[in-house]
Amino acid sequence: MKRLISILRESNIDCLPNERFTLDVQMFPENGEEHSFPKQVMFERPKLENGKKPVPEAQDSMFHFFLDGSERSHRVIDASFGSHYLPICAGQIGVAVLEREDFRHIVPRRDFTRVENIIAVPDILDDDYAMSLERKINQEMPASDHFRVVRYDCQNKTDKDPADLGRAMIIHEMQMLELRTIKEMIALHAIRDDRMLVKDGGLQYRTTKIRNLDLKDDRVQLRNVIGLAKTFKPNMTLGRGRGRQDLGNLTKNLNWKERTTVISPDKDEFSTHGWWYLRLRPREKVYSPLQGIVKIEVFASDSEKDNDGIAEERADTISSYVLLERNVTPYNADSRWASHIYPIYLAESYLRSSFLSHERFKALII
Amino acid sequence: MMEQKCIGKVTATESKPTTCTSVYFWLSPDVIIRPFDLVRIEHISGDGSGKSYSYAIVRELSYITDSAGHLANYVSSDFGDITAQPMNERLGTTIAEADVLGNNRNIEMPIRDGARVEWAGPDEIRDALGVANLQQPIPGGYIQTSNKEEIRIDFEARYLVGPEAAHMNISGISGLASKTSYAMFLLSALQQRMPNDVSIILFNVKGPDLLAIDQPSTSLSDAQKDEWHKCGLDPEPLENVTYLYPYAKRQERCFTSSHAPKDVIEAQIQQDRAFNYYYDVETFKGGEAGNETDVGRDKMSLLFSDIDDPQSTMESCIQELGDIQAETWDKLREEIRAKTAKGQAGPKEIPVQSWRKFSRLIRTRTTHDVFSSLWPGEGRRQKLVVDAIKELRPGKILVVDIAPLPDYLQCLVFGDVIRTVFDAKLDLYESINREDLGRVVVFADELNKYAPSSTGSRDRTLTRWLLEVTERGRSLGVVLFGAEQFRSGIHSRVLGNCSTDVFGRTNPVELSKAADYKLFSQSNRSTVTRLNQGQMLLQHSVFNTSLIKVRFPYPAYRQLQG
Repeated sequence: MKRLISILRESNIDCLPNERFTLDVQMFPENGEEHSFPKQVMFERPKLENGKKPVPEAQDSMFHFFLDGSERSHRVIDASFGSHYLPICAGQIGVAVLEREDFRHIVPRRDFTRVENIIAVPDILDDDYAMSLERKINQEMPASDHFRVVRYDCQNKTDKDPADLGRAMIIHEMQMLELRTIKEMIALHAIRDDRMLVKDGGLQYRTTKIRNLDLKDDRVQLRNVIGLAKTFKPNMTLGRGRGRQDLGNLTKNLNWKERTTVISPDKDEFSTHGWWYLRLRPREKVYSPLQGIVKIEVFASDSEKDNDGIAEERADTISSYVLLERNVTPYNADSRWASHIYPIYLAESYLRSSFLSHERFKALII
Repeated sequence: MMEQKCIGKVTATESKPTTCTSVYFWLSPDVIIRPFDLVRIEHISGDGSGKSYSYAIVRELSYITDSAGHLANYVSSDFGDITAQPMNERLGTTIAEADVLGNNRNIEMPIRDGARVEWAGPDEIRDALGVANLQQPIPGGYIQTSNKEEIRIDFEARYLVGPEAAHMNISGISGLASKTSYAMFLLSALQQRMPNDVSIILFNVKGPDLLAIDQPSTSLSDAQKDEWHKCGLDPEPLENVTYLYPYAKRQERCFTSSHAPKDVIEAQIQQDRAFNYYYDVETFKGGEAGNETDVGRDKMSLLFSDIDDPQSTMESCIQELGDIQAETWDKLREEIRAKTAKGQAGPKEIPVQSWRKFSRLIRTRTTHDVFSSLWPGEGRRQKLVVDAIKELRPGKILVVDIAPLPDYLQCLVFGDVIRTVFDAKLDLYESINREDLGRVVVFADELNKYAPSSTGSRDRTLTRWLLEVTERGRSLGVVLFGAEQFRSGIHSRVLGNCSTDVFGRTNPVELSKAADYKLFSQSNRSTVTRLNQGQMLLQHSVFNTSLIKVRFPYPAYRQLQG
């Protein structure tokens, strides 16, 4: 079997292996697209008086599917393209979906789980060239190790490190894979009101990505997709004037089983989703006031957009479902255990075990 | 070979790899399995075509989860809230650890990760355990697998009763281990399968337990009969049984001190199958013509086997008995007493003090009714042990009741029988043709009385004899089946000579004391403390595994209650 670098050289690309192959490994970039909004507003109807409230206890949960998307990318090769000397990045992206059956038993959904190898080349190479390169690579590789070639924009963003651009392209592909999987699950009616999907990380996809999904009437099912983020930026400012305060201040005062009010970017920005924070673990049992807090994100329904806020009952119900997920925990097995829910942890583990090892992946390339 | 339902897959990891002898596999969640179950596992074939199958016996089961520790589980219950109901089931699976028994194509390579694990079929199990294609199989019980198979387990006769190997030991605590029941089952199997080769002598050591073994049990249920059939045997009592009871001057009790009910003895007398054994003086001086005189003298020392004799003075006294002219026990006691007087004529190799001690012991230890002379007429049905053994033939059983006797007399009778059979096999008795006896199996419960573990000092006479029997008996055709509560109490060489060991339920203290249990795996050690009645762990020379857990049927003979 030929290695990728040999195939590139045979395609007249002058390239050298990058010695920093291992430096860019990041397994769980769930905040890869964490946006920084200049202004944020309350987005809950009716308005929550104290900015927080206890979450009612639920007996059962409608959370049925759990999705995790991950990528592992590397700057693998530096190559000369005419007068340019640019990196080629490679990575593995994947999405895993687990289903919770009756009796709390969790099983993988192989039909919704997929892993892909990606090479990101600079867009100095045109689309046709990239396609032919992909064909050539896959002719030489066994079917299980095929690559998809994508192009990253290095010509319009000259102020950025091209390796970051390459990696961002791979992350973008991972997000698109997540969204395509969600679309497929909606199309197959897997996601329903009583079979909701919980996705690891936020839902702050760019509007264009959602629009490109072309969900048409199925778009209504997006209300059954929940995003759970384990980390957030506590210095984000909420509100205006005297009432404004940083998120850290708001969340640190949350008691166990309490949530904040729903927040949204200012309507002028993205108004299609809202988020809030929930304390999953007793405050006195964790090391820092911000540990054990999870960020819950939802898409706003059309009526909620029209009424200027996520309905309080909906936020309560979803919060109570999330609260139910607090046990069991990956305590001591994952440093983020306090804000992790177990099915997502399993989805991560399952996906990680589906990826090629670092050594094996490197051996495909150089 | 037909593919069976897959019940799990082999797992080989960095820390727990598969080896030539052990394999790990995870189990499908719906599979119920237990230690001692047998599985077959897909394996590579030597010639690269197709596949082979390896067979393994489950040793240990463990359930593992992804929990990093107990504290993680505590945290997962809302930091110790016992009422918390987790929404999610933690990831976990049952891992079976198994010993590889063999491969149908003799592949000894470690089994590969991901190999299919299936239930093994009955024929495969017998083959894997090494109990298929035996020359002369003797049923030893049957195994029940978790997938509802019931498979007979056989011993190989050549390794059970000689000549290749012989002797069996059964151990287990009283009441729960069913040692006697298992021994009787095996003796029944020997009588049914080898009627022309094996004769049996057994000792009744407590109550009237074994004094009606030729009468059918009236309480045997159909299920219990079916268990006999599973072993390939008929649920019948033993046949051709002769009973020897200790003689006593009690006419109203049929001249015996036995605990057997009178009607049982009377019925046996009517069938001419019950006799009362006694010891005359001649027995201890060499009972009949031939070269067995020394043998008789040796037997006298059995009377004192529980008494320390560091200077061998008693042994010297016993040697002197040959010169004493006495035909009755009273006369013998008188003659010995005469030697205790001062001023004896002749050489004085034995001090008078020693004769006094010997006289005192002889007086106290020969007062039992069993020390008697032959009374005229047949009403007392007296018989010497040697005469009973003379009449022993293959297919016959001699039951010797020693239950009513004190310990030192039990040792005397047991030692006498063993020695007489052994000497007969050595052709020391002119009137016994050793070929006529067949292979003689002697079963004795409470073996710890006769062959206690060595204390460092010189072994006593009876123990020395038993060592001789177990070391030379297999070639001569004298086979010892012994049983006891605690293996740690038995002489190590007696145990070491047994080719078959049967382990009944025992307690943890014994596990820590007896060296043999230390070689058991942790799960086997645990199993042996939890065995139910009717279950035993077997160890036999021809088995391909160290232990097989079997069930055996309930006795088919009438068990008299004490």
